[in-house]
Amino acid sequence: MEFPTEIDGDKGIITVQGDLDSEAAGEALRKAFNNVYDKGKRTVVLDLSDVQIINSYGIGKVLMCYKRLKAENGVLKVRPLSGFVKETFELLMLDKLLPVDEG
Amino acid sequence: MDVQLQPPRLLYVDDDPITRRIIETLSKQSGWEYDVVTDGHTALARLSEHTYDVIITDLVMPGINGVELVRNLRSSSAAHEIIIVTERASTDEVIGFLREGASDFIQKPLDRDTLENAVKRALSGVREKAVDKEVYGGIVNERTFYRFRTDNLAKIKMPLHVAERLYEAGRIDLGEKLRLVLAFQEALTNSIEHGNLELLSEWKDEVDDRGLDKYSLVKRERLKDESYAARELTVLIEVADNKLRIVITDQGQGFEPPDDFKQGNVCSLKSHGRGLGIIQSCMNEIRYHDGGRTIEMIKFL
Repeated sequence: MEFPTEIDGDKGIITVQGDLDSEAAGEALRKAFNNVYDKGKRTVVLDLSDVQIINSYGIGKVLMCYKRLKAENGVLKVRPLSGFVKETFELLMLDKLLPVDEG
Repeated sequence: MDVQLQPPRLLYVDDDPITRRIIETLSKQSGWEYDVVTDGHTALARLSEHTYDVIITDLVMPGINGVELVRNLRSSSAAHEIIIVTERASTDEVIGFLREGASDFIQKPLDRDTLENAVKRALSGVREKAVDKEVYGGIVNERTFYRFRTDNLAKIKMPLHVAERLYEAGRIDLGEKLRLVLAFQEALTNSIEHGNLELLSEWKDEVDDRGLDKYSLVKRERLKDESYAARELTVLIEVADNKLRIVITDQGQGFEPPDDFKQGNVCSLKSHGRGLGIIQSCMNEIRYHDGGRTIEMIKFL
């Protein structure tokens, strides 16, 4: 499983495909993050518009990206959320932590 | 839909006049009731006023595209089947449509036989769901008990079939179904990983410079260690007295819920606690027994 990445100016963009609730998905996110991080990007945007389900495992992986960036004064953003993922982010107050990137 | 008496009702969403001609001819000959619209917005407006058994939609249209339309259609709880029609789509795209909730896919140029077979399959699906809804709506009580080895259960994502049945029976809505399944998965994961495998949440924060965390590494090791992998987990799923009750028991060291959780607060930044927060948001009652080795979750129906 691989998540596509792209560089847009100073941003690294990761498009998460499928649900973020398994070890395979977590590993794909880790590799995609490393991909943009190794290219020197410290502003990373997660596009979760294709994700229907995110569980605590997936959230943990998202927060791992957040912490690695924060350690270098970087920032993790998300594209506008909807549906169940939006609900889960709001429930766990992650919407207060991760700013929205309007693209 | 009355499975026996009413003619099927179809909604076609397509702006191509040739395709519409084929559709109208077939529908008239088959005795199907139908409506035709030419864009996604009109389709959604029509659906807010009428019910349809099958929706056949082109992917490429002005306004809302077919994928967004499918998402919107599936997020409503109406029991209809969705057929996608398009000129070309990659395998990945087709899988994406099916994941979004489409039940079938037809490639253009459209021919009568292909369309007729797809609609008949869809109508068969609608009839099955109508029967299921009647049957599942009549469930008074149901009880299933499972026993697993930790390593076997850790390899799979155990489905919660009862949630699907309750949804089909109209006893829970789609959002409740998704939340139930998520809560169940979270509780199972906690019992497997923190219970039987004795993994500590703090290890998730011990990450090397490649993003590999100690939690994942130790988990892999312990799943190969018979002293952990052979530990059992039992799952009881019961529907009775208008409640769904799920009881999961592990053979770990036990567990004391954090104070935040007991007080109803959800932990947000800590590595641990988020799973509990998700469970708490989905279930009406949560109790721990046997020193925390058993979690009992209840959802009122």
